[in-house]
Amino acid sequence: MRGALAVLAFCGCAGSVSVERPAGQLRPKSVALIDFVSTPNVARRADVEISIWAGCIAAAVELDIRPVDYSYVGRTLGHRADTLVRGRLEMQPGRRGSATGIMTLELISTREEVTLAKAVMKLDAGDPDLAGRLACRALLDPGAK
Amino acid sequence: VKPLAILLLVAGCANVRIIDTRAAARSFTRLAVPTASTRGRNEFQLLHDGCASAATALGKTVVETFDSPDLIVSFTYAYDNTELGSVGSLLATLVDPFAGTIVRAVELDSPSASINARDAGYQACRGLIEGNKK
Repeated sequence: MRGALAVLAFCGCAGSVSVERPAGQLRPKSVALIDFVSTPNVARRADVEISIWAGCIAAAVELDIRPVDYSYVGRTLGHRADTLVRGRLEMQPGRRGSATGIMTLELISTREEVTLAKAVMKLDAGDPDLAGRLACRALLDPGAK
Repeated sequence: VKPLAILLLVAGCANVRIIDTRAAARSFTRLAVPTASTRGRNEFQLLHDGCASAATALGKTVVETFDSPDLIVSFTYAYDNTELGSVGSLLATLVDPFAGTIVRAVELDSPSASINARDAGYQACRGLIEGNKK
């Protein structure tokens, strides 16, 4: 069944999440948060990124997965987390606390450096904090329904 | 009195969210402020000053990162459309330097106004140190 994709859908006021992951993915023990990738010609929304981080930390805590400080660990100790989440945002301009656009989060194994799962979420003036929480919950929990 | 006055001034200006982990309860005395992640202008020093005031007021010893801290504070902040010396959003994390694990996180966000960076640092670190009071 390796390579087969499971597609899940989450609904919430922040938008819906679709997740792709190989069958048999295990729940990580720890996750480093988060490395956002710059997209050419797309302005970064630092306020949105920060809220997504906070939401993702909350999701990890809810799932009993240890959140690891990526910047600190990356510089000083090397990767102690077994996974990290990398994000890509294609956001439209908007007021702080609100996000419209596409958010993609990838769960990456720090040992094998392969993508374990990918979540895509369309945001329509949604709360980025809630979006981060829902997307990371879907991403980190293989048993999510 | 001074820290209380600062807290009263900033109360109501920002949304504050505290995220506790299971490891959050462990006691500590030596806090390094801050390290690593920043994005933006020179509000960094003001965040540091505010955080150090909160830590001192709450009985913690502020030390350098290399001086054997029990825990370390890390800041990431956004400054979109804010005045110099202010931040719009802030994520402060309390990190266990041995495990690299985030022990507690505090998110500050101000939908309509800038938050003075020193006050933001104070508020964030007060939340980091005190956590969710029951």
